[in-house]
Amino acid sequence: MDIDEAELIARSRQGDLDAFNRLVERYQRPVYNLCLRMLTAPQAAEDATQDAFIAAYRALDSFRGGSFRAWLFRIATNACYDELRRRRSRPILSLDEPQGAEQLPLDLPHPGPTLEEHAQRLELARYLQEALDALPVDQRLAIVLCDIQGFDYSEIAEITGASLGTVKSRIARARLRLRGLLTAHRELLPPSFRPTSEGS
Amino acid sequence: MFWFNRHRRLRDQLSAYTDGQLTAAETEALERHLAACVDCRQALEDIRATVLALRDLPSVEVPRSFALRPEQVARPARPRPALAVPVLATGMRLAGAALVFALATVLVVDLGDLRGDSGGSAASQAAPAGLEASPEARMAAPPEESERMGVTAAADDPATEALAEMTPDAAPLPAPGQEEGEAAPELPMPAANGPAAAIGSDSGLDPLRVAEVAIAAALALLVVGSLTLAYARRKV
Repeated sequence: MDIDEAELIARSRQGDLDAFNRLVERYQRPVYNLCLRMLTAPQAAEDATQDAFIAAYRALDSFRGGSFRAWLFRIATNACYDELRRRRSRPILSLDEPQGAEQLPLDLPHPGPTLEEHAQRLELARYLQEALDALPVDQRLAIVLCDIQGFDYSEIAEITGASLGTVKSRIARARLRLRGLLTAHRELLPPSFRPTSEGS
Repeated sequence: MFWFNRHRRLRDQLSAYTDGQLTAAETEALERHLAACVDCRQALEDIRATVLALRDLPSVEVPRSFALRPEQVARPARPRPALAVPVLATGMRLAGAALVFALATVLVVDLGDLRGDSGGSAASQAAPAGLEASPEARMAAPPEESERMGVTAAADDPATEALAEMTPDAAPLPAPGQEEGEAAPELPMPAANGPAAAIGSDSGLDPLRVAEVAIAAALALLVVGSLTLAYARRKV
């Protein structure tokens, strides 16, 4: 954690909302993306992100140093679980609300050189989100934190409250499932990602 | 069969291997297996491709700023520090009970005294009223002293005190008792010893009377206080 961040946290703790909002600006994108990958529906992700920052501001006193990003993601993870629980308790609503991956606001900052490549990347992203949706929540969370957010195993254990062994096996099982789904749609993968099939 | 189990165990480690999470010994064992196992090499390729595809997922721009507005983090307003009505009511009930008990005690003593009568030693009158006076004090105290003690004890009655704390109106209450209590010892003072007691009781400053009046006044105030409280509660 850099000095600047420590300073902002200290000031936020004393009730300086502007200082906290600088932290919000810094982390809102990764937090929103975590929520979006976990919940798929943009509106639900937006609500969970907002809830997470409000909860974080209120819980600042419980931050005991270490990685602020991991601490914040733990809170965001809880906000996602809350939303998933709410969804389970009234499943009928999820039928009315469009929550499929096709609702994802995909915004590619660097479109590929050709239109065709761009379209293919969009399709892959959509497909991956559907594959993530099909995973059990714990596995989805583990792999999103690991492969999309770039946390290491011990940080994921800290964020999810699971043991290191559990984290390792969740990630392994999630990748195994995704691999099965991806190999069925090999043509979507860009050539550089395409697993070399035996003999090719 | 042994080979297959080993193959499965090692294949489960491929994911951690991709992330460099295996120990040196595990890594070495897995790499030896990979060199010999086509399936595992293929699985490793697939896992790497999956990880790359996930890492390449575009990060989505936020739809809006999530900066917090002051009203979003405002603590819920603290409940108005309303007067603790239940506590107050209970306190009043207890004070009332204590006062009734004190009044009954004083009356009983007074009546008993009238029956047994005689100018009666002031000590025997005052002692029971001053419930807190220790037996030694009762025995040793000269009449004036016990008189004073009796009155003071009445004024210091915990119930009276409690009432004084609860209702501001009650503040003047102990005053008459105290005034008289202060006055009482002054009167007998000049006339020392025996006759003093007689003079004291004759002059209407009988500590029992003083106590009765004080307690009755306190009770009256308490009743007024309770009624006020009941009215205030109904209004709220």
